[in-house]
Amino acid sequence: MTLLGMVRGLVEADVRLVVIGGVAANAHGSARITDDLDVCYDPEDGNRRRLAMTLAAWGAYLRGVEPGLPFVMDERALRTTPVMTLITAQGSIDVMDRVLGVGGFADVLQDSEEVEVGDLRFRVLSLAGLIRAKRAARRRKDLDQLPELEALLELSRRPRPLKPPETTPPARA
Amino acid sequence: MLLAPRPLTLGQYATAVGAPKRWVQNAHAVLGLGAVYTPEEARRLAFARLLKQACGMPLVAAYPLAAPSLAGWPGRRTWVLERQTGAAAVAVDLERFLSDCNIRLSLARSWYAERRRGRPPKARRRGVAWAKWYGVDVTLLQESLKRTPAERLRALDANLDFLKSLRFTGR
Repeated sequence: MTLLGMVRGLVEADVRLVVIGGVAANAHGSARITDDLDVCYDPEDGNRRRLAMTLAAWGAYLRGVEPGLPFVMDERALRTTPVMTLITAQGSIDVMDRVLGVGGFADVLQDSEEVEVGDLRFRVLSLAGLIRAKRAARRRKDLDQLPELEALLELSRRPRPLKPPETTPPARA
Repeated sequence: MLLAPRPLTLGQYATAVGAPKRWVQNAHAVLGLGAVYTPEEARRLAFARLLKQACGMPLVAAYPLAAPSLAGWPGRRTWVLERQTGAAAVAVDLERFLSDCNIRLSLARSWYAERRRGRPPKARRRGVAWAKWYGVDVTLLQESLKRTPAERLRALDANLDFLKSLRFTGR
């Protein structure tokens, strides 16, 4: 499955979420390729249950851990550990109920923009929000992405050149 | 050939245990464990910490119980600590406990990478000038901005598909 396919799967399962991380950066114009989907989810009980059920149906397992170890993917696991890094049959996904530098889900939602890809509609964290999150995380890979995001912010704020006005050809005498 | 997993840093180890770094260092000093941080040790220490928190058992008494108790899984799903009167003092769902430990270990390895120490460097340049200085190809960004977000996301999926096909056919 593709990254957009994973987003579609979550949206169709009625999971309230905001896409953050590399996919959101790509939506804003980043040229970096990412192979995992990062989402911030609403920690409301029903939403957490729907997310856990979807991830369990995708055969989610922990990333960076030897295979075959005990792992229970359910609502309780999400409640006790609100941040999880997972590998699923559909691809890699990181789920969290808050974003460092931005805040809880309500703050993330407020700082998000709607994206429409065909008939699929979902929200992505704003460019300014992504920059705040990367600054706060302070991991090397996050800091490496900052110059590109800052450039995108500046470029997107520059006034676009106006198209030359359509002129009608002069009438022949 | 299988490579032995890398030992954890103190920060990763503390995340895996589910305790502050200082608590972990003090616990290692009390138990005489030294500064070797492995996933197995993290599970044992997390178990001892659970017993200490649940029934006030001293760490030095709780720690020796950890290894034999955890070795009981998957044959035994629940581990019960009984009082001398025969009443259960604490019952641990071993599968759930190990699952929680593994979730923390996954986070420690993949999410909580060591942060850059100290104050962040003062950026002398900002925006496009900084990106150019850093080596970012700004023309790529300008081209990308000419497209809609939907086109960019479709391109990301297409590029990812292409990269995956390279990985599968590579020798």
